[in-house]
Amino acid sequence: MQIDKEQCVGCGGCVNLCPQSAIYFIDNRAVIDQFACTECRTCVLSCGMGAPGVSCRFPHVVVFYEAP
Amino acid sequence: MKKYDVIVVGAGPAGLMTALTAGSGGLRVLLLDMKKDIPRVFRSCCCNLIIEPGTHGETVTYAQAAIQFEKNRFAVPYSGAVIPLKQSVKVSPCGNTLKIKGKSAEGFVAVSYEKEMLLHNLFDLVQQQRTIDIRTETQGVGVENKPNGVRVFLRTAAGTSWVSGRVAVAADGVNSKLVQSLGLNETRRKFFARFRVASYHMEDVDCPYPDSWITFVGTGHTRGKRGQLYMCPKPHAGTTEPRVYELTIGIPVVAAAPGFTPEEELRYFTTQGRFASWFRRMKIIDTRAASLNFYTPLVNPLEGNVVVVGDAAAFIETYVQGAVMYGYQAGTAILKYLATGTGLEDYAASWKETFEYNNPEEIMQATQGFGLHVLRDEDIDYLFSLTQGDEVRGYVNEFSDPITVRRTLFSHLEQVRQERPELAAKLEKFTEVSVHDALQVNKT
Repeated sequence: MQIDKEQCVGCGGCVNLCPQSAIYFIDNRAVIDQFACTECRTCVLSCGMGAPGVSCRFPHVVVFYEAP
Repeated sequence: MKKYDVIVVGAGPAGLMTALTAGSGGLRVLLLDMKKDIPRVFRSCCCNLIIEPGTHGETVTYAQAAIQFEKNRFAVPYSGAVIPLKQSVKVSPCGNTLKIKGKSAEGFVAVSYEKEMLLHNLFDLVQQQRTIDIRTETQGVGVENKPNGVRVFLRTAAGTSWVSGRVAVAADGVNSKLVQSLGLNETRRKFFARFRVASYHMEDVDCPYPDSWITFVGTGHTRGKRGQLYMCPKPHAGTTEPRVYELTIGIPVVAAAPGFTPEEELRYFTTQGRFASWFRRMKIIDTRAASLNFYTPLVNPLEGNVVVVGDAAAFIETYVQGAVMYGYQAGTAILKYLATGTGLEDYAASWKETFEYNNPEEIMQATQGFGLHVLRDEDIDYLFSLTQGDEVRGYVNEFSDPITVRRTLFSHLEQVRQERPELAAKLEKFTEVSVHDALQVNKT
């Protein structure tokens, strides 16, 4: 799961509810640690703004293996 | 590693007040918050100053740029503006109303104020205390009692760590990670529901009920046919002009049928709903959100050397003034405890006695008021057509408001019996409404 920074208002609800403690705050906005997230969707069901959304789990890895 | 006397996790009204009280008593305090800017408020909070005497066992007034706590004999500075609210208006889906006015002709039902300004004032005082260390962008994720005190586990963007102290204070709010880590949610509390919430702060609203606390009752106000909407004027950035309204919606989470997000419902309500005309010119100046878990309160807000204050211990929430008051009491109790070896029980005893929802009767009372939400929209429209002209007096206060509403509806019971006997029977069954039904957990 990843959080859309434009949608997130920084209420912190998902931060405390995340069972993996995978979410933290940078600059008053929530950020999900992609290596700790288990895609349990707790943040999706707790967000008033619809900010968390599914996207590729390991974008950096995918980019890394792209053909040169 | 430096060992602290008190580690306060969470710098909202409860945490700031606990840190301030303990710190000004000479204790070495560490105050943590996950936000970068502690006094800024990003969470929905439509809370007003609840002026009904006896709320949380206290009587709170606003006077001389301060919020005064009569019984506990302390005051906190508030340099922001206020808007005294003249009435509480409940609006049915078709626009019929039940209005509650202040107890006296010039009386108010509540005082609207700005939480962010209160936090700024408290934070300024905290920063003046040299004994208080502040760490921002640091989240408390857990706590353990140790033989000589506590260990609090921290997480930042850089990683995890821990810090030791003699006493820990869980002031990390309604979804408290510390309370969760102690296992108290599983063993001591009954879970009802999760609500997700969003709110808009808006200018240029054509509101026909100025200076009012407005509750939109019934399901017809939303596209997903569930949720509760509130609106009231709020001071903004220290002033009351131009007039800013806060519109808030809370929607119960039903995993199997997620429905619309609160933000989508707000957009619907302000553009297509029955009252969209109020919002034709409006400008959104701020958006906020929250996620709420409804639990019964902690029976004992103490676990070893961990003290739980504010919303972290409550049934959803204590009012902001309650968070400040319990923070003050917790800070005082910790000072006594670290000086004499006893004292934390003073705080626990006060919590048990004064927080209304520790009394199951109060949960019942509130539930019976929420019973309104299990009536059909046409029932509410009809009932509010009877109450339109009523002279009702009371306060904005979740503890007394359900009683006021029930009394008002019951004063029309004879007429309802004659015109709509089925509805009268339903009304009389209000007392049997369960908390789950009232919170619409089972409805999709």
